[in-house]
Amino acid sequence: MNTLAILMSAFILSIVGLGFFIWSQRSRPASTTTDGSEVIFAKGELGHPESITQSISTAHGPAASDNLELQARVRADASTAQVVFFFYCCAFVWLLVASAAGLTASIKLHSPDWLVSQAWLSFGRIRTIHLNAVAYGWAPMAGLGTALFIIPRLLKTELVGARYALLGAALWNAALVSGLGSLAYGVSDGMEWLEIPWQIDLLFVAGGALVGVPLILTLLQRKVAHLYVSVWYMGCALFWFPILFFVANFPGLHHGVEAATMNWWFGHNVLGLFYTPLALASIYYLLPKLIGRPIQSYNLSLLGFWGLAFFYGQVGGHHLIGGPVPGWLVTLSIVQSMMMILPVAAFTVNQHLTLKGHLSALRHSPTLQFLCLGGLMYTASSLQGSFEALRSMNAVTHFTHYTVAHAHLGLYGFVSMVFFGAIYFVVPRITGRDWPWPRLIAAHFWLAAIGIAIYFVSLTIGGWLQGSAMLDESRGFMESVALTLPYLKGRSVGGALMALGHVVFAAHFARLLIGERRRAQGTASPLKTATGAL
Amino acid sequence: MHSETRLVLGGLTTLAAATAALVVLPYFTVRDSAAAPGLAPYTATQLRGRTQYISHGCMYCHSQQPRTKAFAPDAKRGWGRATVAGDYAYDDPPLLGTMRTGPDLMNIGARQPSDQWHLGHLYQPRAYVPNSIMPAYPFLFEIRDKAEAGETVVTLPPGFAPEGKVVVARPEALELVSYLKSLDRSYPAVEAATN
Amino acid sequence: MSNPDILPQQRRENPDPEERTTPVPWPVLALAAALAAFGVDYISHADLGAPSAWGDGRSLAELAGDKPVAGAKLDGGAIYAARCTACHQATGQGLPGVFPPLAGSEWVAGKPGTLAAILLHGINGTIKVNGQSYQGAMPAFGASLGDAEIAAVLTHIRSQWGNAAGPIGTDTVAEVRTRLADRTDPFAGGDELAALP
Repeated sequence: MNTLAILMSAFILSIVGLGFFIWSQRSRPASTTTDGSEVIFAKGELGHPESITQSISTAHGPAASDNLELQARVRADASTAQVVFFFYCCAFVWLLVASAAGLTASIKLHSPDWLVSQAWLSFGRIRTIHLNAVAYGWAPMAGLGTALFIIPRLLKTELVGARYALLGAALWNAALVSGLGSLAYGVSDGMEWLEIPWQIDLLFVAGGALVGVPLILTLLQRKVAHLYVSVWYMGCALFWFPILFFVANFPGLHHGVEAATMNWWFGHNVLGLFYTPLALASIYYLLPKLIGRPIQSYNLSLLGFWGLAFFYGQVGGHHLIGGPVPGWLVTLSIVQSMMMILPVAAFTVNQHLTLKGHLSALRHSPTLQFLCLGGLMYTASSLQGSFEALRSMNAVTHFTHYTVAHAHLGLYGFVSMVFFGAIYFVVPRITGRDWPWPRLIAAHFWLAAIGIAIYFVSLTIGGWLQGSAMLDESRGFMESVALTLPYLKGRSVGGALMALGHVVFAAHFARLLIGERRRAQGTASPLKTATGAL
Repeated sequence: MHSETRLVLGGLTTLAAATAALVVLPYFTVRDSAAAPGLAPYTATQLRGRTQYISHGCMYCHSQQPRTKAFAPDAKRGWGRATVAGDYAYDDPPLLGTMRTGPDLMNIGARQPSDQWHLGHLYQPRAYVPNSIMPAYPFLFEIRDKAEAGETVVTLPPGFAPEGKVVVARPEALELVSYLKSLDRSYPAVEAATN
Repeated sequence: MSNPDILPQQRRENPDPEERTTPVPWPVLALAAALAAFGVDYISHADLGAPSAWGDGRSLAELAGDKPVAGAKLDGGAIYAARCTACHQATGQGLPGVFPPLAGSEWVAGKPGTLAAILLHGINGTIKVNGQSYQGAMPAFGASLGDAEIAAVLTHIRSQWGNAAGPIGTDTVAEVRTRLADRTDPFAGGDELAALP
């Protein structure tokens, strides 16, 4: 049998198998009446938007005080508050570090003689510090912190072994500090997303395991029969990532062009099977929670989840189109990139059905604003990514700043926006303090949104022109460099706005922590209770 | 969904499928592709230079993978023929790159074999390529009153050389240039590929 | 911690979410079918005949390299653009004080055999061009360029930027290559080159 026939039969078989697997888990009509979701909403709660201000909160929900659901939720929060708080504090630090490094790298691309006397400040290193501070600092700290908060709530149980998760987070951050230090010093494994030396990676593995094991134990202690969709995403992300990381960093295993295919199997799956599921799970939890309306379609949730799990894993080869890697592998990745449209559409339609008629909630809830923008950017960046994988488009965009714009639309416009929203929701529940200045939240939102818009539009146009110039043999290579300059400057402007937004965000967080307590007298915050108990 | 077993097994299966396609099959088919007949292993100096290349992150702006004529005019730019697995037999890890903020370097040794050009260009790219946005690497050089025996002095265009001083290449710069000059895949690839 | 205090923030939020069982809308199912059909179609049109180790979309003709076809004219300008412009610049003016100009150069317009010798073996030493002295560091191209290619690029530079010297034939380059076959080092500078026959 030839390569084409093998690839074709593997594709058809896997699609059919996936279809049956999803179909086997569909909801049965009988269950809709007994399992009807609206039952668990207390009377008068449906349709009330969550708000950060207490004045609105008194308008509903007073009868919930003796609600078992509330009691379980409060106990879950008490068990996670301390560890979530620690994760979030680290996330803030790495967000600021990554912003400073990213902005420096961006300016260097149009001012190449700026800060050149120190090796660690050179573009090649500061860019890598930026990427790793986002990839192993900000995104996992914010995402895992949110997962640690949400999972026990959804399982109606307490987090098992929170202190191990805390120790794990400490190890993880120690690993990241040494990893970034070694990159600044010039010691790197040389593959994108996998630069941190493998010796330090061992520390990440130990730290990650200490965070993951409590969550698995918690899953086994669950007090609910049905696993909510957020649990699928977060649960799978928690064991997908360690496998990816372990296989990718195993010393001596990978070589030659196989190392390149492995590199992008890892690189794209860190996005697709770690950050993306953590952020999608946060949307699936927070969006219905904030508007007070159930997710409309369990079946669409299934399609979105298993579609992502299956298709996303195989798209990495589209980073190597036209490269010295097997043609069948590239073809497979292109097809699966297009297939990704299906789970993205399922997610989008599901959120749309859920939000329909409740958009007014956006006015009151800053969390919802971040989440909705993030959700929209998930759809936008995923669709863009699917078409970018087609050879005709990739011929222009490959090797250009267009790809950088796309990556930031995904990791910033989508993932980071969602985590911003989640942090705004979670922090008051673990500290017992409300955000003191709602206007700063609005400032953060608009700085981030306008910043990424300028960033994305600049680099998308600049990258496309750059790629077109490179494909035109009558134009010298330097022309493709020179024409990007205004767009690279535009990127620095956008990046500066985003960084300013992060400073506002972090300052607001600091003000919340040191400010006056704004909660009811005589109640202790989960954070305080947990700290006292440990 | 009621079963965590189904969730975990399902998740493992999908990841296993992806790993099989993108890691395991390439492991068995192209990991150990024989080196192309025209390709020599790197010398110790070239390998140290390769470490410098990685350390300074050259691969974030320079690719090492010319594309086919049907795909892009890379060959017309003098970047060489499309590469095959056997061209990377000694590359650990391969430095294919994802950006062309600067030109492809897979054959830079063939099209630019001048040490002096490389050294001066690393010291100050804009001395040789007007409008270049490549960073300058002054920390790979020393500025002295005069060079000692056996040291390599960099000749720079007027205006770029420090007044009354000489620019001496540090060993890191010489090793890096040695690696760059070794990047030459201008031999035919077909024999390697059909093996 | 069996009965932690309830915060106002926890009290005022909606209960944890659930799912309804709205069926998958038919357009989504249609999309699934369309995408699967696209996948089958895309794979069936893919060009997968070449061995895995060749890479994505490689053809035999391309990988065999650019063997000069008999009778075909080599483009000296293209060779110049790929190999020479980094130092001598597209304008042929070189870089002041570092790389000598080719425009108006007495060496370019001079003896064909000497010019071919410079390309074949390179220079490492002082050379005077247009009255200006340069610390020559010309690489040798004898190993990487064939006789026909060297002849083409030499002919090109002798006819550009105001230069008006006659073409150089492949046989001239071949003759010099044979004559200097024993040579391993670059020329030590202008003096040694001037002494060539």
